[in-house]
Amino acid sequence: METYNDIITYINQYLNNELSASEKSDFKKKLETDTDLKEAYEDQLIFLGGFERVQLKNEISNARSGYIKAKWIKGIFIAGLVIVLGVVAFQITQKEEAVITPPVVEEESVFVEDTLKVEEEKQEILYTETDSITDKSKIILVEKSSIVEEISNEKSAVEETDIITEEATVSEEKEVAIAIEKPDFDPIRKSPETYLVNTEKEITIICKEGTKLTFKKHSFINKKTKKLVRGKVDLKVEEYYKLADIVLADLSTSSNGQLLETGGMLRITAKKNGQELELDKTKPMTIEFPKKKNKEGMQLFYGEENEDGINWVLSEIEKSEIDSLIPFEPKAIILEEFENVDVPFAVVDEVPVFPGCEDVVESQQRACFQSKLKSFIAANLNNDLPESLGIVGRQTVYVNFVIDSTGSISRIRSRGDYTFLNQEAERVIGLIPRMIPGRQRGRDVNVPFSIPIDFNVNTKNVILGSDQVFRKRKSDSATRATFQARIENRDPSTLSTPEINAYVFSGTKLGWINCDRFRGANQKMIVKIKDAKGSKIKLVFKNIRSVLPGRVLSNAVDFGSVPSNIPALLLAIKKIDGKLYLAIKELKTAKGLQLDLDFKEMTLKQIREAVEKATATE
Amino acid sequence: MSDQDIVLLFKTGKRDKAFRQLYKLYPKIEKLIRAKGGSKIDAQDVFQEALIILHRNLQKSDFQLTASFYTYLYSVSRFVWKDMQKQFSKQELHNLKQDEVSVFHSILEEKKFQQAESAFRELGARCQQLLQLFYHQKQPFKVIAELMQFKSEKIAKNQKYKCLQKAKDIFRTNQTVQS
Repeated sequence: METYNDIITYINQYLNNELSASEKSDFKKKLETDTDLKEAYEDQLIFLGGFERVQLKNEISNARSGYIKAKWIKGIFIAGLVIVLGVVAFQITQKEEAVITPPVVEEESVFVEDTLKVEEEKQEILYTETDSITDKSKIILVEKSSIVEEISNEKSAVEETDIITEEATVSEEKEVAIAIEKPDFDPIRKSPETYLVNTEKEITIICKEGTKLTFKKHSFINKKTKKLVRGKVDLKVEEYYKLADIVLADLSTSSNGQLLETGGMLRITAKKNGQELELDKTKPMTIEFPKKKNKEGMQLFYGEENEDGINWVLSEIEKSEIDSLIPFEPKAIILEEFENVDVPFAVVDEVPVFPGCEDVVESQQRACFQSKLKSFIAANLNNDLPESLGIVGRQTVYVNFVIDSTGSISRIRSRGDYTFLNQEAERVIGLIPRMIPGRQRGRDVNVPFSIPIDFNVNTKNVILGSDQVFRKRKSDSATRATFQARIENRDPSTLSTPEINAYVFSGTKLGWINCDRFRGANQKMIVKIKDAKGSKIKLVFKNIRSVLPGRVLSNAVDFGSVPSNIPALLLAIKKIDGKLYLAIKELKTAKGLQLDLDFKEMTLKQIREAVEKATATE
Repeated sequence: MSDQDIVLLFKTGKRDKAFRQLYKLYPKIEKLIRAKGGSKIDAQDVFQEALIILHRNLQKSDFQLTASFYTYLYSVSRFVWKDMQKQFSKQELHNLKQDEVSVFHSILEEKKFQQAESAFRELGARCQQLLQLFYHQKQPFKVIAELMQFKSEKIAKNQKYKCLQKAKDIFRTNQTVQS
C-alpha cells in the first residue's frame, strides 16, 4: 500500500511539473523499464481525464444555463424594445394627428365667420332698405338664421352650409389677395372651395359657379390602402369656367394636341386626416356642368398635369362602354333629349315664326314661313359667284339647318359639288334673322329644316325648286304621337332648371376633370414673335371657349393645329426682374403671322382685370 | 466573438466564458440531432461531448483547428451521435476521410475517460469530494484535511489513495463486464 501510494505521488509530482529536469528524465526512463509504474501512470492519466470530464461537464452545464438565461434576457429585452417602439410610434402618430387637426378647426371657424358676415350683411341691407322689406326677404332671413343655428350646433348640415359658402361672395377678393402675395407668375390656381362632406349618406354639393356634384354613400376610399373611408371628408373643388381663370391658371384645352372646346373645368380633391382619397370605382359621382347654350357632343375628360400645363384625356367610360353607364346617366340622356327634341317642320304643332309672319293666322304660318324664307335667300344670295369661279350651269346646294328652341339658326350643313357655293349657301342661311321658335305641346323645340338652293348661272336668278323646297312630309300620326308622348311623360315639375341647363356626367376619378368636345383644327399655326422668350403665351378662342398653349421657340410661338380663319386672342405674360408684363393681341388664325407684342407693366391685379376684360364673352 | 478570441479564452484559462460563447452554436447542433431522430436531451448530451472533445484536443500541442469551431463541432457531434446509436458500419469506417479519422479517434479515446468518469461517479460522495478537491482544485492535503474534517493531513492523504484505488477497482470491473 505504501509503495503504491508512493508511486502515485511520484506520478503526480511528474505530471504537476514538480520534479527537476534530471528527475524528469529519470521518471521517463523508469516508465520504459518499470511496467508497474507504466501501468499506474496510464491508469492515472485516464482517471485524471475522467476527473476532468466531471469538471468540464459542470462548466458546460453552467454555460448552458448561462446561455439559456441570456436567451431569455434577450427575448425580454426585444419584447421590451418592441413595446417601447410601439408606444413611441403611437405617440408620434397621435402628435401628427394633433398637428393636422387645427387647420381643419380653423377652416370651420372661418367658415362660420363667413356665414355670419353674410348674415350681418343681409341684415344691414334689410335695415337700410326698410321701406322695401318684403315678405320674401324676411323668409330668407329666417332661413339664414336657422342655418346659422344649425352650424353653431355643429350638426352636419353639410348641404345647407354649402349653400352658404356659395353665397359668401368673398371669392374675388380672396383670389386677388392670394395673387398679390405670390410674387412670381406661377399659375394662379383659384383658391379651392372647401366642403366638409359626410360620406354616410348621398350628398349633393352646389359650388360657387354652379357645378353640381353628387357623391354616393360610402363612395370614398383611401388612395393607398383602398379601404372604405367613413365619416366626414374634406372636399376641395376648384372651378374654371371663365376663360380668364383658365388662362391665369396656366390651363389649356387640348387633348394630345387636339383642340377642345370646354364646357368647364374642375379640380376635385378629397382628403381625410391629410390622406388622399379616391372614388370607389363602383360608386361614381355625378358631375353637372352648368351651361348657357347647349353644345352637342360634350364628353368627360380627365386632366394630366405636365410641364406645358395640362393634357386632357377622354375618360374611359365615355370611350368604351356607354351602355353600362351608371344609373345616373339615363336620366341625363333623357334630359338632354328633351332639351334637344327635334320636331320636323312638317309635324311640329307651331312652326317657327319668320319675321314678318307674326300677324298671319296659324293655318297660314307654314306657307308664310316658306315664302318669306324663299325671298330672303333670293335677296341675299350672291348669284354671280359661280360665274366668277367659272362654273357653268345650274348648281344645287342642299342645306340642312335647325331653327333651335331659342329661335336662332344652328347646325348648318350643306351638300354641293363646290365648296365655295356650299360656303355661300351656308353664309346666307346663317344670315336668317332670329325667329320665334317652333313649339310642340306648348314647349319650345328644335325644328330641323332642309332646303335646296339653286345657283342658276344662265338666268342669273335663283330658282328654288318649288316642289322640293319644303320636303312635304305627311303628318305622320305615329311620329306626332311619339313626340307628344315623349313630352307628356316628362313631368315638368321634376325638371329643375339646373338639370336642363347642365351637362351631366358620371365619373370615377377625382383630380382634374373637364367637360369638352373636340373641335376641328386643320391649320398648323406658328406665329413669329420677336420678344416671346420667357413668357407664357396662350391663344384664346372666345367664340368656341378654347385655350391653346403656345410652345415658345427661339423667336416664334408654336400653337399646333388651330381652326383656320377664326378670331382669336393672343395673351402673353412674362416676368422680368420681378415685374410682370402683359401683352394682348387680337388676331385671326392664319398661316405665317408675324406679330409685335406690346408688353405693358402691370400688377397681378391689373393683369387679372385686363385678361378678364379681354376674354369676356358678350 | 471570433474563433480566435475563443481560443484565447481557452488558453488564458477562462474556460467558462469560452464554453458560453461556444454554446451559441448549440441551436444548430440541436437541429441536426433532432433531424436525425434524437431528443432535446440527446442533443444536449451530444453537444456536451463534442465540447469536451474539442477542449481536450485544444490542450494537445499538436492539435490544429483547420475549420471553424462550428464546422468542427458539427462534424464531431454528427460522429458522437452516430457512435451513440452504434450506427457505424465497417464500410463507413473504412471510407473515412483524414480529418474524420482524427475525429473518430478522439471519440474512441474519450471513451476511456468516460469509463473513468462513470467509475468516479460510482464512488461515495465523500470520496468524490476529496478527489475533486485534490485533482481539480489542487488543494494541499492540509487544506483538504481542514475542509473535510480529517484529523490530520496524513489521514486525508491516505483517504485519497483509498478513494482512488476504489475508483480504479470499479473501473477494472466495469471494463471486464464490458469486454
